[in-house]
Parts: sequence; C-alpha cells; structure tokens
Amino acid sequence: MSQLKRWTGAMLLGALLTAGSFAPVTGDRTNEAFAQDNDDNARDLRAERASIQRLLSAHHELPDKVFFERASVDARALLFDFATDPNLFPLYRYRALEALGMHYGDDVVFTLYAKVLGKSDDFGEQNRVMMFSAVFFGERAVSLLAPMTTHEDAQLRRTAYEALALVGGESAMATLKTARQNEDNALLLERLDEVVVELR
Amino acid sequence: MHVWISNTGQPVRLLLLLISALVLATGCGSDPSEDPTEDPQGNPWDLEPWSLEDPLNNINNTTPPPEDMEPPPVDMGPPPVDMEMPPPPDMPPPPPDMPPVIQGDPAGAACRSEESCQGEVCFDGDEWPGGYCSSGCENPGEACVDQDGVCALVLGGQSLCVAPCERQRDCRDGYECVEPLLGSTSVCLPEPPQPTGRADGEPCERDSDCGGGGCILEADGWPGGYCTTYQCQDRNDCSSPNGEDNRCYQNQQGPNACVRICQSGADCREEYICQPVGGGVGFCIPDPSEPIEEDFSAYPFNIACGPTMGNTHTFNYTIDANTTAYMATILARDGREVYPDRAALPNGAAIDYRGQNSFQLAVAQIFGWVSPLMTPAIPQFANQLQPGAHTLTTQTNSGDVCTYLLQESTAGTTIDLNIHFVGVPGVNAGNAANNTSIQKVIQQFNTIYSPAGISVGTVRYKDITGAAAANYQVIRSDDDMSELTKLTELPGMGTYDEALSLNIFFVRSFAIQGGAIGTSLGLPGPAGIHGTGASGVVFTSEFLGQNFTDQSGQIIDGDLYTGVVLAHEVGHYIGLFHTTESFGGGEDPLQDTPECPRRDFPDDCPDLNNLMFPLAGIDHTEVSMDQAFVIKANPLTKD
Repeated sequence: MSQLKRWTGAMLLGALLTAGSFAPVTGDRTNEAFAQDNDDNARDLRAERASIQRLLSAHHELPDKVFFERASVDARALLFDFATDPNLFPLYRYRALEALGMHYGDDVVFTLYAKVLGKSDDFGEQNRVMMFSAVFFGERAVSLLAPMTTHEDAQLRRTAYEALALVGGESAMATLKTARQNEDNALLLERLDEVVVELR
Repeated sequence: MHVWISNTGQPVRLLLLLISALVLATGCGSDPSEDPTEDPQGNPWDLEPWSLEDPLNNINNTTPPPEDMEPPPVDMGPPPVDMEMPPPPDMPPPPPDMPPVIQGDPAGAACRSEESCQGEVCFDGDEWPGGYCSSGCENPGEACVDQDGVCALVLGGQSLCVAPCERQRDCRDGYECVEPLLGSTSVCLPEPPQPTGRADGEPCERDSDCGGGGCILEADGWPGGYCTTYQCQDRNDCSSPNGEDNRCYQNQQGPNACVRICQSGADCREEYICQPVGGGVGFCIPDPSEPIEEDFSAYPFNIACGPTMGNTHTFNYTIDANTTAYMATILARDGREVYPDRAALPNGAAIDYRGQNSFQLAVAQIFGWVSPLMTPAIPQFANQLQPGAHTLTTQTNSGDVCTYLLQESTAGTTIDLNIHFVGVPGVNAGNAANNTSIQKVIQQFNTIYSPAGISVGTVRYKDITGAAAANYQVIRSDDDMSELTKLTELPGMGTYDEALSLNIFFVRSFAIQGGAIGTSLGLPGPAGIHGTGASGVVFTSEFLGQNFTDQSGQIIDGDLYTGVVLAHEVGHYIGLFHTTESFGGGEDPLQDTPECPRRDFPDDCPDLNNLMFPLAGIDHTEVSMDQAFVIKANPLTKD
C-alpha cells in the first residue's frame, strides 16, 4: 500500500471551524503608499494583484501573512487597494479588510475600519468590519462599535452587540448596558440579557 | 448566557449561623414563660449542666439529668460588667393589671452561664463571643415580652430575643449590627466567621464546605457542586485562599456570585467548560452540551440507543455481501463525547481509527458528540470493506449512545437537496424554483459533479422564518450555524429515500472571521439524520445575481461563483478534505490529488483548479477519480 499523504487533523479543525487567531497583529510595514502602475513594473504588479486576489479567495480562513508578502513586496498597499475599491467583487474587498486587520492591525487599518463603519452602506461590509474590529483591535474597537449600537438596522445593531460581547471588558459591557436601556427590539433585548456579562 | 444560582443565598448563611441558638432554645424546652420551679422533679437546674458546655451536641438531648446531680455551686463569680443586677429571687409575681415586669438580663448581654442570664438562655459557644443572653419569642420585629430586646426571625420561622442596635458601636466586640429578616430594627448578631473553606469554583456538597459560604449544588446542574460567594461586589469579595483567579459575576437576573476565571477549558474542572466573555478570558460553567432532541424512533432505519456501561461502547453490526460501501455512525444523544477506537473485521483484521484511519475522526474531534465512519473511506482502503460481523468499539463519556448503519449496494448517482432560505432578499421557498440565480447555482453544481457521475435529484425548498430568521440570517459565530441546522427536519413523509437528503442553508450574510463564504458541519456529515447541530452546510447568498469585474478584468458571475462554493461545501459534507490546506501544508488522504509544497502555494500548486482547493475560483472545478469514489460511496448519493 502506498504511503498516505500527510494530513494534520488539528490544521483541519481550524479550516472547518473557521477559527482564527484572536490576537491583534501589529503590522511591521507602516502606511506605505501604494505605487501606481508604471511602465517599469506594470506587468509585475498585475501578477502580484492576481496572486493577492487568489489568496483573498479562501473558502475558510485566510492564508498566513507570509503568503501575502511573498506574493508582493507591497502586499499591504495592495490589500488597501482591494479593501477600498468599491467596484471590486465584494468578496475580495471583504477579505482584504479582514487580511489587513489580521496581518497589519495598526492605526491605519483602524482608521480604515472607522471609515467603513462611518460611511459604508454595504451591509455585508459593515457586519464583517464590526466583527473584525472586535477580533483584531480588542477593547480599542469599542469606540468604533458604540455608534453602531444605535443603527436603525436591527441586524447591524445585533452584530455590534455580538462584537462588543466578543471584546468583553468594562467599557464594552458599559456600552452594552447602555444599549440595553435603549433597545426596543424584543429579540435583541433577549440577546443583550445573555451577552451582558460583567466580571469584576 | 445564563448562570444558574441555587436558592441558597446570603440570608441563609446568616440563618445557619443562628441555627444552634434556635435549636437550643427550642430543643431544650427552655420556654422562658415556664417557671423552672414548677418542674415536678423540683429541680430548677435541669438545663444547666449540659446547655453550658456544648449546645450543638445537645440539640436533641432531652434526657433529664440524673436525680442525684449536684446543684450548681453557689458562687457563680462576678457578673459581667454590663449585666444589670438581677431582681431578687423571691420577688412576687406582678398583679394581673400591672404591666409585665421584664425579668432577666437584656437580650444580647454577655454571660457565662444560665445563672448570669437570670433564667434566660446563655449561648456561650465559640460563635457567641463573650456569651449571649437570649430567649425564645413569638412576634418577630416587635419588642420581646419577657426580656429586654427585640424578637428576630431565625431559621424555619422560629425567633429569638436579641439586642437591638442603631449602629455598629451599639454592639459588643465580635458582633455586628445587621438588619433582621423581619422588622425594621437592626439587631446585634455574631460577626460571620472568616472564610476558611474551599475556594470559589471548587467542588462542594454544602455551604459550609466553601470559604465564600455558598455552594451551588450538583442537584442544580453544577457537577460536583461549585463553591461561590453570593452578593459579591468585586473580586475582593471572592474566596481565593490560594490566589485562585475568581471574580464577581454581575448577575443581571439574580444575586451576584463569584466564579472561577479561565483561559481555556483546561483551566476548568471535568464536566465544565470555559465560557468566554471577551477579552481573552471566560469563566468555568457546567458543560452545556445539549441533548439531541430529534426523535430517532420516527426514522425509517434503525437507530439503536441505550445506556453505556463504563467508558467503552460496543456496536455490533453485520455487513451484507452485496454492500459496496457503508456509513456507521455513533453519536452521544446526551451531547457528550464519542471517540471511535477500532472496528474488528470478519477476517480478524481491524480498522484502526487511532492509526492509519485517524483522518476519519475529524468530525469527532470537531463536534465531540458524533462520528460518522465511512467504509471504505478511500479507494486504497477497499480491503476494509468485508461482509460479515463487525464490532466497533468507541471510547465515550456518554451515558446515552446511539448507533446506526447505512449500507449502499450500488454507487450513487444523485443527491437530493433540502434548500433553506434565511432572510435572503428576494428569494424564498415559493419562488426559488423559478429564480434564475438559484437555478444557475444548482446547474453549476451539476456541471462540477457531472464528471463524478452525480447530479442533483429532488430539491425541496423551505423558508426559515420568525425569530430564527432574525437571529441567524447573519452568521456571526459557529454556534449560529449549529443552531440553524438544528432547525432541519426529516423531510417529506420520512421515507428512507427522503431521509437521505442534504440540508443546504442560504443565509443573508456571513460576519465571522474566516468562513467568509460557507461552512460544512461535517467531514463527512452524519448522513440521514436531521435536526442536529451537524445536519447541513451553510453559506452566503450575498453574491447571487451579481456580476463583477475583478482587477484583472475578468467578469465574475456571482451565481456561478456561489455554485462553486455550494459544490465545495457539499464536497466536505460527503467526505472530501481540502487537497492542500491554505497554510500550504497538510493534504488529503487521497492518492490521485496532487500535493502542493508550501513553497508553491498557491499560484504554482498543481491542485489549484481542484474543487477542494482551499481557495475558491470560478474555474476551481476539477474532481479526481479518488474524489469521485468518496462522493459516490457516501449514502447521501443515491441511485
């Protein structure tokens, strides 16, 4: 019998359960401007974009940072380009926002998340960025999430509640307690009763 | 999240402190209204010799002292400093129309013996610093009749006469001014003992086991009991004698209580989990494994359930001579864990699920409560398919294990789908059959699976409505997906053919890290059963009906892309692994799917266009022969 190819159960678990690192990642490349195409590097950039786009197509969890940086020396800048292109297939935009938080969770990414939550009218984008904020920025995300607790869309409010519950801690719980006082949706009130957990 | 709190609270702790006094007052028959001189034995000292020594040990001792017992010594020593002078012993009773004369020392006075309380009871155990004069009384909250003091309610509706107070300094050392359970006058009662018992979060059988004074009982659903401190304000109130990380749970629906903090389940006792609360921490609560509520007796195939003895479950089954493949599934109906060990084969060999077949335990590792096992799982294990008697042994901590067997005698050609819509804009069960996008998705699925000889058969459409639709139209956690698949039901009339169908959920959006497109709740999933947390696949409908141009100028059809996602997730549910994992290492157990070394991932991977490559693509549609073998072997693919 031929030898079986290697297969690692633990790695599979991560793939199936879509669990990822919950630790904020600080970028090691800061705010470089994305170089526009020019005659010298246009061909390379197209290839790099194609590689980045492929990595953003993950069915489940995103590939490691090393793959993005191997795909392009300007991976971070390219990801910003994907994340802010409104005409792009939305999946790539969503996942670029995720990749930026996961692999470069710095002030610039935080500002980008704030801009998305403040100005985007893309339902999928707003829901995702709220959860990404909680996962990648922890307690710092409370300032981004708090305004979303008063959003007129109950689904977006609910995502804000879930994201704040994920953050935990004093300020997140205080925000949720305030939200509970103002919430009039019975299902959301029920959920708030479950997620408002204070441990002193 | 809910925390179950026993009915035992702080007031009970206080009452337990007083129980010795109560029982002494009643058990001794020392009703202060009785005149000891009326004892027919003529012995005015019948309580004294034993009540002074150890009231707790004499709670039920009603045996009178020996008749020849010596009277107490005349010299009782000097009275306590704050003791008033007793009335003369020969004082006549008051006339009937005079107000009652209160006899004895005031309640709460220090004492050394009955005599120093002038006929009232002297509580002089360690829990009563300096002794405490008291007596029984009848009207809690009111002034005592026979003693200067306030009647306070104690355990079981009994009451004692105790010293009133307005502030702490009104009480002697060792006593605290506390509010009574009934009435508005505060009273002096002994300070509670300093915690000396087990830390919060430790097992217990009774309150007295715990340093915090509270025990949440096993009978209330906390295995082994759970020490806590009720009415806490912060972690400083919690019992943590050895530096345990216990914190005060601010309960919105009941009394606050201290809980044990954890970072993972490993920090918690057996049968407890670490319930995350954000910020990387959680607290230990009983494992909330939910029993499977599906009624297996209604199924068209035998699902045998019953108690297990010990930690090993044995499943004996027979494989027919014409069987080409079968799925043996073991599940813990109480939601606990099963972990298959080996299957003894008719020829004396065995399938080793801890060895070369370990990849088949993926579902058991993920979910714990269920483990579907295909045989043969992959083409190179064809010799594991044998007719005759088999014995599957499984390690389990469950007391209620179910097993069932699904045999196939021919390779599958169709797969039936039960498609559920959860808050999808513009699409529902009523219009899905005529919805262009939904039909393109199904057609794309057929295109991808046609090389494997599989096509979609019967399609049933169903809407998820009401609260479930509101709660789960946006997937925000793994739990959301499990809750969704629990909503599935045995379709149609519940025939064997209808049971063998796959549940598909189109949701409005995904908002969890990773899994941005879809997730299968099985690898493979338990075929044929519905209504469980592993009964289907869930993926987003966000891209239906949309066309986009990517950065290379390629047009992406959202319907076809969604069809690829559907085909990929269904592939997982019927047993296909990723050909290569997205971290660039780890491959499926099949021989004919190419391997991709980490250095080549992803652009140069030879399996880039395979359906089960971890990165989606409109042209990632290839299915290998071995993958087709796995697909056709699964009971969900039928004739």
